[in-house]
Order: sequence, then C-alpha cells, then structure tokens
Amino acid sequence: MEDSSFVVEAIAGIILFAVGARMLKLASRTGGRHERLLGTYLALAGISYAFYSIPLMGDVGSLFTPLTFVGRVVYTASIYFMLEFTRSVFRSEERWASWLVFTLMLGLVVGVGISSAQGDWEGYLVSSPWFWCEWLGYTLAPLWVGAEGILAFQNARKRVRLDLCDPIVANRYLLWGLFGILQVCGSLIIIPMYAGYEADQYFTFGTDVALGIFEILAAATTWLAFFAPTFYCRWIAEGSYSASPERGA
Amino acid sequence: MSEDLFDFAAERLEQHTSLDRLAARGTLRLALKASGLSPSGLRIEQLRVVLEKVLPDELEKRGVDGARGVCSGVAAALANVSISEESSGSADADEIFRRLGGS
Repeated sequence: MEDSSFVVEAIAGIILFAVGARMLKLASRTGGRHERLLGTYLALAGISYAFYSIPLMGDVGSLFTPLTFVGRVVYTASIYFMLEFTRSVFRSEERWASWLVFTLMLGLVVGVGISSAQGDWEGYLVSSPWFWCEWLGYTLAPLWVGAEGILAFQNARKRVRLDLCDPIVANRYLLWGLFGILQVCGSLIIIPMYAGYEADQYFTFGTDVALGIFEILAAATTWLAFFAPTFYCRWIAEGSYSASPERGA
Repeated sequence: MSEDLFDFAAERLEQHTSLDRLAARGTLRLALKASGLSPSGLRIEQLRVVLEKVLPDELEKRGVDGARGVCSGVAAALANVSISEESSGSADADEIFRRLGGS
C-alpha cells in the first residue's frame, strides 16, 4: 500500500473489532447464539485487518508473508460466522442455505489451501485459478448478506407502516444489507489492485484509497446498525418509513 | 383443532365470499405480500392486522361485498381455534435484530 492509506484499513479493523467485542459482550449477557455468531465474525474480521495492515506500516522484513497469511486465514475463518449468521437468521428452515454455506466455505478453504501450497501465501496472484476460487467465496458471502438485508428491509418497511415492526429494526436490516454491498464493492476493487501488485509488486494509490473508503464505510455501518447513538435512533423512530399512509386506514 | 394459520384464514375467506379456493388463497397471499409478510411463519397478531388494515382493500378490488365484515368474521374465528404457529419467519428475524441492538 502506498503512503499512509493502510492506516484507513487499520482504523476499519479497529472499528470492526470494537463492534464485534461489544457484540460478544452482549452475547455473554443474553446467551444468544446470533449475538455470538455476529460478534465472532466482526471480531475476527477486525483481527484479520490488523494482520493485513501491520506488515504495511513499516519494514517487517521476512514477517511480511507470515503476517499477511495469518490475516488471510483469520479472514477466511470469519466468513464462516458471517454465513452461518445469515443462514440462521434469514433461512434457518431452507436446505439450500446450508448447502450455500458449505459450498462457499469449501471454495474458500480449497482456494486458500491450494494457492498457498503453490507458493502464493498472500493470496495476491490474480493469474492463479485458485485465487478466483477464494475470491468467489469471500465475495458471494457478503453478496448474500447484502441481498438478505435489503430484502428484509423492504418487507420490514411495509410492516413498520402497519406497526408490526420497529423502525429501528427495519433500519438495522438496511444497514446490514449496505454492509454486505460495501464488502462486495471492496472485493471488486481488489481485482485491479491485486493485478497491479502482481505486475509491479506495488499497490496502486487509487485502488488502495478506494478499498480503504469501502472498508471504513462498511465498518462504520456495523457500528451504526448495532450500537447507534440515541439521536440517530430517535431520528429513525420519528421520521423513518412511516411517511406513507396506512393502507385501508 | 390445530392447523396452519394461512390455510385456516384462506378457508374461512373462501367460505364467506364468492371467491374460489385459488382466488381466496391468492388474495390472502397478495395481502400478506403487501404487508411485508409471508404465509410461512405467520403469527396470529400479524394476521389480525392484515385482516383489519390490508385485506379489506384487496377484497374490494375483487368485487367482494362487505369486505370489512368478512375480514372481521375471519378475525373473530381466529379466537375460537387452536392454531399452530411456525417458529420461523419475519417475527423471529425481527426479534433477533432487535436483540442485536442491545435492547
């Protein structure tokens, strides 16, 4: 990464870890499985961002590859918790969802495993077919999150108008869906970014900054979704999605 | 008596209107969709709101006379039967996402 733009990724990692840790604290209080799944995902994602950022902050010499590889493995593990959370909240009764979780995780593990065995420990070689196996895993997972979140929001908005859903909950669906979409945008930016790295051993500034922006926006979205400040909750509750008149009223 | 909530409401709708089985189920399905709900995992309190606020308009669009009375009749019938509610659905996802905010 060029200049100090890796700092943005580190900040995104800190936010994700903080939200994840807070969610795990909530899980310890409520004993809820979903809190635990989401908290673990966010905390692991935050840790992986740190492992990706540290080697870029200074000259770590021979530790560059091991640290990046650890970040890659931790991120891969985090995806399982993201997928399982999405499945258990939105598609707990549907068999295809379990197969989707299994297939995406298989793609990730095979992609990381074989590309590493072939010497690409960082996972930056776009020319390798195994890169694409891994890329599909960590791109389709947030795409599913985004789709489920937006779909849930659209339906929740209708329920809000009938007083069958809390506006804050509807907004939380929207933000969770946006988080998934922002993660997908990050995955798309990675392609030219890593292609440039493979060619020049250097991350180009434009893609680097774009990735940082998407990552920090995604991280901020999780904070706003789950630990929003009071004024934001009040704004959503008061204005929100109840602008149109109730049907039949 | 224990039966699926959607089936129960659709059957009562068919009995109290000139709609055939397919039309009654379809109309109820459209009313649920307009309310952001689905037949699976439907809760009694959700169905009551749909019967009160959404279904009358859908029935009127299809030329059903006394739509509000029909819906009130179906809602009243709900009080007299034991209906099985599925555990999955929008209400559960709503509850999970409510909890995730720490409330």
